[in-house]
Amino acid sequence: MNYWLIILISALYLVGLSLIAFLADRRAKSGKNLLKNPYIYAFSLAVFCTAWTFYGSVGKAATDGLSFLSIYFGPIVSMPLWWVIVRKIIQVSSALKITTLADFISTRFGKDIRLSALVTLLSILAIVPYISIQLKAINSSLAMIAGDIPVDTALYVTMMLGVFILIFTFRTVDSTQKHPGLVVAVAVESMVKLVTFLIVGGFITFFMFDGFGDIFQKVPAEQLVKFEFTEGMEWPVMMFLSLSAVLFLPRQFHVIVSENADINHLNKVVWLFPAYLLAINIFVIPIALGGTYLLGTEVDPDMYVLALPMSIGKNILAVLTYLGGFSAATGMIIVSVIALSMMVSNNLVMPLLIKQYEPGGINRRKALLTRRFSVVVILLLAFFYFRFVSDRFSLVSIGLISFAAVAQFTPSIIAILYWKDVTRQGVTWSLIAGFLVWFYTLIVPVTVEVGILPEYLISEGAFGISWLRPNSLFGLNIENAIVHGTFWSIMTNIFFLVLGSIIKEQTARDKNMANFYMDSYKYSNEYDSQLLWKGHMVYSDLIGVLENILGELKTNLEISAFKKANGEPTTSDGDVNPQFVAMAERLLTGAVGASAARMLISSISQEEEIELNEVLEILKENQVITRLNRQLKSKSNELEQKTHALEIANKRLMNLDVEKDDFISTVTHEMRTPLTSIRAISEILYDNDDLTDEERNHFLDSVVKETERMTRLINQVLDMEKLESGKSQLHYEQVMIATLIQDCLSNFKALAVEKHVEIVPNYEIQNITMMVDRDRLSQVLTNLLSNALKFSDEQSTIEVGLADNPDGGILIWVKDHGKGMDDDSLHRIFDKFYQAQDQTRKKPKGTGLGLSITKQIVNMHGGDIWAVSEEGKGTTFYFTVPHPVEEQKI
Amino acid sequence: MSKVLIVDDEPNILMSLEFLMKKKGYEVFIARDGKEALEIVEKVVPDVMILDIMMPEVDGYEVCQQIKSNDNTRHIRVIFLSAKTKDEEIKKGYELGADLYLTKPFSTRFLLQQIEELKPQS
Repeated sequence: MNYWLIILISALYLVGLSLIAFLADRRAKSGKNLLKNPYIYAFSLAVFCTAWTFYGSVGKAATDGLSFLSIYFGPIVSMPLWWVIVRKIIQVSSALKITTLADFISTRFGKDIRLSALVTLLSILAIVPYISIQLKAINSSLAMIAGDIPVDTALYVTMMLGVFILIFTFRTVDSTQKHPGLVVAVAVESMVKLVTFLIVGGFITFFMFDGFGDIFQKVPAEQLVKFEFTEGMEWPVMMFLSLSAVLFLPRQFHVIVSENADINHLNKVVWLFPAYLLAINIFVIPIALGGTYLLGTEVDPDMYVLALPMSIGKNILAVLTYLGGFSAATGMIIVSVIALSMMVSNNLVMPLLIKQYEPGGINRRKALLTRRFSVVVILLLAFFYFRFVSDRFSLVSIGLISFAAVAQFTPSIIAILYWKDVTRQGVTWSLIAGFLVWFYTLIVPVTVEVGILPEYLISEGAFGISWLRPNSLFGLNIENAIVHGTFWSIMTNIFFLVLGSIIKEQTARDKNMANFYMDSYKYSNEYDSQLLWKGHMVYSDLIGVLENILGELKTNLEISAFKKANGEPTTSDGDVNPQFVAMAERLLTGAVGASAARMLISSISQEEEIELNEVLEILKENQVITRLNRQLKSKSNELEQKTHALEIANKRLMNLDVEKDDFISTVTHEMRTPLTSIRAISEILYDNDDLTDEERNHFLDSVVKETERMTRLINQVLDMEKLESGKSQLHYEQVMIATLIQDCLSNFKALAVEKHVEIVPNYEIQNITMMVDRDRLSQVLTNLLSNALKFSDEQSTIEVGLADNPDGGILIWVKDHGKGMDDDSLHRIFDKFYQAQDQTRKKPKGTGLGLSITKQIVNMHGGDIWAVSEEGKGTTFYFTVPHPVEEQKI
Repeated sequence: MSKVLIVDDEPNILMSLEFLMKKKGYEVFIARDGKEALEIVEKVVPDVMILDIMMPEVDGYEVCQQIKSNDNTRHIRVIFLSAKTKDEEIKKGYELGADLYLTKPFSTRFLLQQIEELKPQS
């Protein structure tokens, strides 16, 4: 096909991608940030699948069988670990504004500039070849589809990608700002490569062959033999490599950590990402077998995917496939270059600039330029590597060597997260040693192969020492070079990590940081109080640096936010508030990286080394404060509840108090009335000797009656008090109810006859016994009967009834045919001292407590009492007595 | 002969007061609540009233107020005789125009002496 047409299609694809990124950015600005979508996040992680997956898996399968799968099993089986490790890394990074792997490691050790530079250099060493093979993949696929192509093609592609990256990232200096456009574009690329691979795989399997079965039948048996699992160390080592890669490759770290908008997106990732990896591998074996069967060794197996549709003239499908591979390659290049350039500018270039200029000389423009410059440098490095080196190797071999390099970071990162005593020397030594062994066992043999280094290194070993042969170090014979190299490099790596951590002491600052990394979940929200900084600096110097790098507007915003949260940025004695310095350093970290930020702060301050006991003091203090805070919070909650309860109790008490006052004043008032009569009559008797016997007797009789009234009142007040306070308990016994009523009635007979009132019993049930307090229930009946008698007209009847209560227990009523009561009286009849009006005047009044006591007793039995009245016709009092609860249980 | 109206709802107090007043030679009228008291006042216009406060229907305060706000009855001497003993209750009684406020239980001699002083010297 026409070369320029393919180039045009590629360019149009990138323009389309730019458009998507542009639209996503604009959406994010209007508040609809697609980064909040967990699916976008999960798809963007599939940047893990590069051209190596798209073309190389088939190639690897065609030559080595099933072992290509090991690269995907690692990430899949590692998913549970994401809950633990990735979550922690994201927490630490977002709290410290960390955006790169280099910062993640160096921040743990006082933002050691040498350490972060080392990590950066090693990353370049590991990743630039990897980027170059993506260029190679694009180049090969172009050559495959368009025939002979000009040598400069890869350069054009590189330049197009450079433009894309420069447009869509690093427009602001703050690298902690996420890049929604970029992430969405990467997610789209992931979808494109998956869909195209499924389409071409489906086409080959179902149209060029008759399904999976057909392919397996047609392929010669000796070819199928290869599709067995290789034994020995290969699988575990490959899984370890791919596990390290999926987490710690700079591009993976970037999409997983830096572009993470919500830690809970991991919930989607843990199933969606493995599903993606499985899906993109479904057709690898059919294509590999089909390619071997139809094309054989005429075509590079890496290019089977493309060559198969082309072989039967399906050009449009071939272009589609090419685009899938192109998207896989560009996705990887874009994200890797961004991640690397951030490290390069922050950890290599920026520190040089800070040393070169005064702190005031670093400004936003310089910081941005540094970033852009780094992008160009890395792309050029990759291009030159491709041009002069990688052209001679297969896709997979370079990829695996990259994986083995990245795996050197794994022991250190795991130690940083889970081993309190790891030291910066341990990490530094382990990285250097690991990489040296990696270089010697994996790079040297390849370099010898292409004729750059002398042959004898392989055959006789360095300096002619045979156990130094790079292919079988210390005489260990492992056929697979990657397994061999990984084994020795990781062993050395771990050895020095442990050694360096054991023989070297941590500084106080590092110990503090260790706590933070270990217990990230505890501190992620209260990091401000954890940061330690001690020293002196001039406030205006700090503001100057901030304004230079962040801009005046952003600086002012942050200062006012700080003031709102923490108060003045300067202390009373003119120094800068350590918390403010900590915040400034974090802001600078977002802009120029951790180490450069540290350098900037140091350059404008006289810092004092913090002693270990000071750190411990502060830590302890923080812990105590946190604990106290928690206690205080729960105490204050408790207090609030208690206050509420107290308010209610107080209100009740106040009501009770008022009630009690009322009660006392009513009682004393009620006492005054008989006393008044007694005193008046006594004085009359005393002063008047001339009274007739009849008069005298009449007066004396009244005195006696009033005395009885007082006695009754006193007794009832005391009785009421006993019932209400619970001092008086019920004494339950089995009582024949009808008999009890009968006894009360006979006591009343005399009084009733005197008033010519007839008492009529009406028992619907006769033989019922209940558990009740005999004396108290008699008291109830007596009260009600005397009440009824009091209100009865002469010659009338009083009915006393007993029946089953439909709700259980019994119902008793006392019905008179007196004047009845109005509604108001009915409602208040059971109140203490309430007396219905218009009582018989000739007799001393009741105490007004009888019905209150009656109600109290009925309630204590668990029953209810109420009255029904019709004015002019009479009143009926009803009360119920349920079976006691204990009895019901039996 | 002076007319005395006794207003109370306690039978024995009424009986005692009635005995004492009659013995002194007053013309005695009796009411058992405020309403009845006002009816009698309208008919006979007593010279002195012995007035309880806590009574059914119309209470003593109300009776006093009505009497003192009516030109025909304002001259009637009102003596409160009540179990209400709080300062503010006594004050209220005097504010309504009472001539005397006695608390129960009371001294019969003191009451009689006060009536002697209060009643118009005709």
